Amino acid sequence: MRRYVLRRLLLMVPTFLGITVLTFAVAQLAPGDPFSLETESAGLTADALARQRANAGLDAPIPLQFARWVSRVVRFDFGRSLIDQRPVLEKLGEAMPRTALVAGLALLLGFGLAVPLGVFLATNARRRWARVLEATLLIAWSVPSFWLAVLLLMFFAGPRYLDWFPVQGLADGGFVLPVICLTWPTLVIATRQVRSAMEEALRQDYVKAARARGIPERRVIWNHALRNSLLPVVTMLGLHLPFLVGGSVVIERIFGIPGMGLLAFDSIGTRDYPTVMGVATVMAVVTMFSMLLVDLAYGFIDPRIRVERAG
Amino acid sequence: MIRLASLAVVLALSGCQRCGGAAPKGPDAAWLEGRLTPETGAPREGGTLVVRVPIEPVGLTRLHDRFNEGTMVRLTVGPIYETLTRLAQTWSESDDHLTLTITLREGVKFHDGHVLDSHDVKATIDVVMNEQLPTAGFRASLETLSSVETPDPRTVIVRWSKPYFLATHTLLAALPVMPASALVGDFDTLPIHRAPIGTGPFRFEKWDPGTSISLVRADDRAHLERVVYRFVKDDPAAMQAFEKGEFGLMTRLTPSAWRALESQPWAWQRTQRIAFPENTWAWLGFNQRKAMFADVATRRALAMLYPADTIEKTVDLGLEPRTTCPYYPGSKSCDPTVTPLPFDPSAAKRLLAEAGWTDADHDGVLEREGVKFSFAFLAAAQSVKMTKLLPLFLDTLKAAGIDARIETVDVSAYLSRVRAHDFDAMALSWSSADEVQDNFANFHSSQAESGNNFLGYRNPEVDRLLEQIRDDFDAEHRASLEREVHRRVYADQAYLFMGRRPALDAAARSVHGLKPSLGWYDLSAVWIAN
Repeated sequence: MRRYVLRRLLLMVPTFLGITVLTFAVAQLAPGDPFSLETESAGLTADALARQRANAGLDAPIPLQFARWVSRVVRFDFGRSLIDQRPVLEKLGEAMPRTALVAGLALLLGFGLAVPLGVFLATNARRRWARVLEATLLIAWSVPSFWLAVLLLMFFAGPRYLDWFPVQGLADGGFVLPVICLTWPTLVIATRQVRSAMEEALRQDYVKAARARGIPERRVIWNHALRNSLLPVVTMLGLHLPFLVGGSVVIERIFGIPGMGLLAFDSIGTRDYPTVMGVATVMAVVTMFSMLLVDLAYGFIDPRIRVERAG
Repeated sequence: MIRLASLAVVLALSGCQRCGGAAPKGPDAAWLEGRLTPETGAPREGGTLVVRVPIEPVGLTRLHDRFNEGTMVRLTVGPIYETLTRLAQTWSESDDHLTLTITLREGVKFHDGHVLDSHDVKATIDVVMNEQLPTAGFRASLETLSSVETPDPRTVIVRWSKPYFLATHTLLAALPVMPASALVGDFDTLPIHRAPIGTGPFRFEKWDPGTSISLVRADDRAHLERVVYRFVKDDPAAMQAFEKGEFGLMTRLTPSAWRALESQPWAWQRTQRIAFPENTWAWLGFNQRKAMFADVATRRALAMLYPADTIEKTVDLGLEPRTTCPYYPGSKSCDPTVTPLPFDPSAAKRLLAEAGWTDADHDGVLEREGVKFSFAFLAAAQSVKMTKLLPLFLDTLKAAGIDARIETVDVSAYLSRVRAHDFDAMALSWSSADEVQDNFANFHSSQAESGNNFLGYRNPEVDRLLEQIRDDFDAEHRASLEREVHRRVYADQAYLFMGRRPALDAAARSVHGLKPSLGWYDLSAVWIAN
């Protein structure tokens, strides 16, 4: 196991380099640069802007700029934003906790509710309530999150209706509505995933054998079938984590949460290369580690995988 | 399902309870027009004014090219920073306009406690004039400055290499004076960019990135105890917060948000709307370096195909009056006899024919000397107005045999291409926080290659007038030259002038002392009633 983890960690290095090379190239190839956004005024001639670009090191060849970036990052220095001149690490440090709070709660709620719901749907497929729930989930899936956000704001934060939460920010319970918005799609997808995996598991011979041995139905479902249904769910959880940590631009904008989504969106729009690279680095690391955790979780869920790896 | 329906009923009932009571008859004329009613009563001390700001500034120093934009200037210059017009006890200019002597007021202190003296003024000017620093935008107006002397702590002597009417004005009215000690070090990362230290009635308190900036009363010049600028990007969310009473002042309402308030009884009862003119004018432009747009007749025909009335009604919602003038509206610099070219497709077609445009191959698109009248409008994806306006304009162009299409790019790419003159047609607006302005950079032919004359407009007579204006210290005579510039620039259709959007703000009725001006509000005069 230790060798496996070590090998996976070493494999992350070229993967990380590949991701950052691609991100750096794409960011640089996009037309415009941070200085093209400066206010139009008489003195901002082409010469003045060229001088500013040179001072920021943007006149160097792209491979050299990348090499400089890598040499800084290995010292854990992400540089300064080209827009507001603040350290990128400081900006990431402000945005990450906000997104982590909202995304973490959404992930917990989404998957926490999806498992019992999915099991309920799989084991009660022919009941009317299960069909109603199924249809509701389908309808819910088609609700755009921005529309849901606006509705929630109006009913639960607006002054004309319930006015339970603040309109903007995370304080004073302000995180509840954005968490609901982010939980919604996660819950729907995960529930459907659990349901189909459970249906598949319930058809397997070992479930029939367990029932034949007289094991109570509750244990058959929750101990035998569910454990074997969790592999695709855990895979999905691993893939979903970076998606949520990346933040939702729309949700963060509507609820006034200056998190990772808005930071990424704004820095791409302003061609703030150091911040774009900082966000990309965080995302790459989170993605790689979540994939590693998923692979390790496979081993705990299914001992056969652990044995294969050991072999 | 039944429970969902019940919830909806509960919500609806709850909503009715909140908005119950007798509905007001309707807004009065002053509210509809955005006029503030005369103030009554004595100012009350204390309270916090929360101001909605749509976009968070990236820095709080207008000297830095990257931070210097209108919102930031309004938030800082006045409340935090003061200019020499306030800090000087007297100033005088030599007869040849080459020497300016400023005597500073005695005992003025920065918020960090140290006393303002002439060295602070010199240090601020030195930063602006340092060509190695990103202060080119501000430096442009002071390019004729040759030296600054500080013979004693209260006297500053500024010498100019040649007279320029705007230089003295800019130095006195626009330069925020900062403490010399705060300007030492790497300019890009100076702490003062994010924690300003000025001499104004409010002292910077804190900046919570992504959320707000707050200022506290520095002394008894201000009535308010605290001013909080809260950043809310999303317009509907900001309006919900305003309705909840979370904002005392809403800035920069969109025309649709302004109009939406008119159907809201809570807004008539609890808010006051404020519309005031800004020195901002929007224009469409055609790249005159291209043969297609090089002649005046073609540009005039394009202006006559611009459906101004339709756009004013449907896009600007009647809030953006049309303009023809590149100077402050209603000022002596604009000639009131210049009237906008009418929307007249028939006359435009005749003009195009006279300019040599014909549809010889009968494919529905005009051509001249073998070149089709076909071009692309470069548009910034973020511009909501352009996404509404351009399709309307394109329809009338198409009907006249002009094949125009929209090329949408993001704002960074847009400005890069504009600066590189890599476009056929584009749109932009010019804005100034001052009534006095110099259009040299926009229209002089010397600015066509690397300046702000992005369209490549060239007219030797306009060049001569713009040069004369720069040397003219007689305001009346200068205005007469500016009126001539106005007439010629409009006759040439250097730009296809669109409209002037006024500032559209709204405030809670409890907020008093709001006196809008080009420089925004004097927050020291603002107070909040119980």
